[in-house]
Amino acid sequence: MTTPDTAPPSLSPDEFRRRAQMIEAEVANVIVGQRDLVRQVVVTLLAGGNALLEGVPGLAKTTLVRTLADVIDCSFSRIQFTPDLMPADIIGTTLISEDEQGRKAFRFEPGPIFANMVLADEINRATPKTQSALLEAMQEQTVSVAKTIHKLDRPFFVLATQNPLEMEGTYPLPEAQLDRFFFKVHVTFPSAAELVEIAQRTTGSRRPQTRHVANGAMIVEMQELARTVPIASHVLAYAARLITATHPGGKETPSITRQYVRYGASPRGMQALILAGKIMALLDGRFNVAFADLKAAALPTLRHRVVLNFEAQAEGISPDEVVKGVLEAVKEE
Amino acid sequence: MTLSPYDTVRKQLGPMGLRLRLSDTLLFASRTLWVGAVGFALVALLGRFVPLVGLRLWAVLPLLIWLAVVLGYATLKPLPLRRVAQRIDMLLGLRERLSTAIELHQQQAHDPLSERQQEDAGIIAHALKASQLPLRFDRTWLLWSLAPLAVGIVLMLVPNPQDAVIAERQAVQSALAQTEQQIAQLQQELAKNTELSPADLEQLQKELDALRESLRRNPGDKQDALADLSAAEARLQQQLDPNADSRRAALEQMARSLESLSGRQPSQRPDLNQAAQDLQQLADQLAQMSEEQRQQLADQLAQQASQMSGSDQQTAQSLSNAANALRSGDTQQAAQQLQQASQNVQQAQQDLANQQATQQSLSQVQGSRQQIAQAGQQGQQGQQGQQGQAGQQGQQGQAGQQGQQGQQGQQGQAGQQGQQGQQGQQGQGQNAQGQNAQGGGSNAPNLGQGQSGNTPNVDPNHPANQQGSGSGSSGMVYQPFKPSGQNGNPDFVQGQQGQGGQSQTQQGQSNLPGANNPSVVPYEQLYPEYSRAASEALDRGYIPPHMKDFVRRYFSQLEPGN
Repeated sequence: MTTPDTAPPSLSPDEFRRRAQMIEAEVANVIVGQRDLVRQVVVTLLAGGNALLEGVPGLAKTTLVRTLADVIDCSFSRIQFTPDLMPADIIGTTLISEDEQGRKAFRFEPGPIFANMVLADEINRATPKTQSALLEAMQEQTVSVAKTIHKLDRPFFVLATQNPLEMEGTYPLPEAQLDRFFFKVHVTFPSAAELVEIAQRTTGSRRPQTRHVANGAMIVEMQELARTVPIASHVLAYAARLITATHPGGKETPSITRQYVRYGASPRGMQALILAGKIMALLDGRFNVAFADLKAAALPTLRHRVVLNFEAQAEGISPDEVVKGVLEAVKEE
Repeated sequence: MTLSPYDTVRKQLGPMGLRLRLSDTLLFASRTLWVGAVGFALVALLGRFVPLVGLRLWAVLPLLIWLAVVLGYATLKPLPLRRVAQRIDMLLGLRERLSTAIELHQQQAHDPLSERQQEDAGIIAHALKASQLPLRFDRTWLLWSLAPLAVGIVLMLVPNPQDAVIAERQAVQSALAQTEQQIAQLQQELAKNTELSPADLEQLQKELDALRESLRRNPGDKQDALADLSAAEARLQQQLDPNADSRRAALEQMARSLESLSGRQPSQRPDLNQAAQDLQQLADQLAQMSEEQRQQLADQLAQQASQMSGSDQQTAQSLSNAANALRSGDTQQAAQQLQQASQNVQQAQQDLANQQATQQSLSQVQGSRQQIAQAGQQGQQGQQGQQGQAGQQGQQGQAGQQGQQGQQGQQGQAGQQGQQGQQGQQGQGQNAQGQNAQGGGSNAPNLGQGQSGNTPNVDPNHPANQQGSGSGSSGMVYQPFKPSGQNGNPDFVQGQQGQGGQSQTQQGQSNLPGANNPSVVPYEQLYPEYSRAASEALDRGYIPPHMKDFVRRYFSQLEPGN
């Protein structure tokens, strides 16, 4: 059982749920369908994590982030990752500036990373050096420039996207960097009915409007409340068994893991799993984490943390299949 | 009074825990019933190949064990409150509300979210009912369990051939106990017999003790018991002197002659002690006798010596020497020889007492063997079989005071030959070993009362078969030769000196053809000869050790009662 050690937040669980529902509802005014996508992005936001969106172009990934920023009334910046993008283009640089008295001094010019919500579009097109500059900010929520550490404002939320089809000329994120993402969300193609709705909303004269239903302080407050959700020890043990089952060398490792997995999920993966479960419990109107919450969070939490071996790639086995196999194999009691 | 959320949860979990335990027990029982059922069927099946006393109890035992395990599972399986809460969460889809609330209460968590959680769990628990929990059992395993259960029940209901074996074994055990008791009684009787020498008595008691011990250790195995009895019977037979009867008859004849000399009326059962005293008295009176009396005494002593020469050579030699000494006028030598004869008679009396005790023991062992051989077969045989057994009993002479009455029979036969002629047939028969054969009749030819009036020649190999009689016979068999392959031995049938008559001796051969040596004989009559021959062969080492049990079993199976 985990119980909060800090002072209890003033926000009530009911208020948490109400605000989250309002955020989702407002985003839904712009984004047609994609409820799971919206839910997972909101969960990532409320968990204080960062999300990696994977999907073909044109699925409203950018629109989603921009809409979300509008809804929660936060600063937003978009970075288009290209091979010639430099770290300084992201985090900023130190310039020599001259004041009114003619004195020259170094001045830090913040980059686009200094925002509450950052869209890192096609992150795999930048070089690893540039990617790592962003990843430091994602993990530490600080930026180090010329021996000076610049703290980023809260909430800080990076939403990176990558195109799974065009792999030529890209720099796939290494496993260590993928682990920094709280969720990896698959953006699926909308259904025909949703496409009709999209066409109706976006091709007319009237554009959908959103309103601010929250702000950055509220989001931080919600993040703090989410961490206080209790979780029973046997549920916690189940989460640990899930993580263990993704490792091919474990005692209770299912056969699918032994056959197709090279590396399993990290402890950071378990932290993400439990935190996501807590938020999902609150969103479901409960005050404790259930097995179902962990199961619902398992795919976006673990799919990018399970590294498949050559055999899996040769047989076309996806990480999702492995995670589903693990969920089937690990019993709740 | 309003219950706290935790108390509400706890109160509701109580009856639900019991329901959960019941459900678990049903599931466990349905999944494990096959073990008890298979055990039940296997024991029932085993009981058809192996005689198991109390088969039904043994067969039900696996089911009882299974039931005990199920009850133990139901009562002893730990099911703490947290575990109950977890399982109810799982079964009713409560999303771990109850188990989390229990855990929060145990950790005394009082933050707002924990209290809200427990309130939420209390509300959920309040609406719960025990009946919401389904009672689970595994139908597939249950159906699979029915098959061995049905097989076992059928096996128990169908008549079991091993029941007869068990009944026979119990009958054998009963017969063994009875036999042991009879042997103990016989030992007590022997211990009271003052005529026996201590050495002979000890040897006989040892033999009977060993037999009792072997019978006591026997768990009811008929073949083993028969083998033990046959072995004891063979050993006792080896101790028997085949000439004991003729020796007794000769000594008694001499005793009667001495009674006549003493001026007393000859008795039917003369006392050998008295005869020894008479000889001693004659030795003392020789000096007072006239020459004519001495010569007359010498003739009588010579005649007695002649009659006894074939049965008691020592006594005959002493009497002969005494007669010669009297004829030569050496009264002192004659007196010494008569005293020697007196001592010989006393020794002979002791020997005959030993023989009689041995014969008595042998008869007891034979009777016991027959009793055990017939044990457990009473219900299986028809009336004819029972008659056959009765006839067999008559022939083997189990009843009555065999030894003593046998002597009477011998004496009666002797009288027939000497003086009484036709009346001699009234005596009871006795075989060479002193077995008495009595009975009320026989359906076998040449058997029974009155048959042997003109048959003075008796084959000592199987005289009882010719003289004994029974009330029935279970069949006739062809016997072209005797098991020993021998011809009949010479036999002496002694006459008795009657009133004014003279004693005579007839010697005959028993291998003559005809009615005296029939080739078609009752099976009950034939079997003991062959069984005896087999026992002797076993004791003399003619049979290889590893085949001895086989031979014993074979002859046990050939017992007339089997």
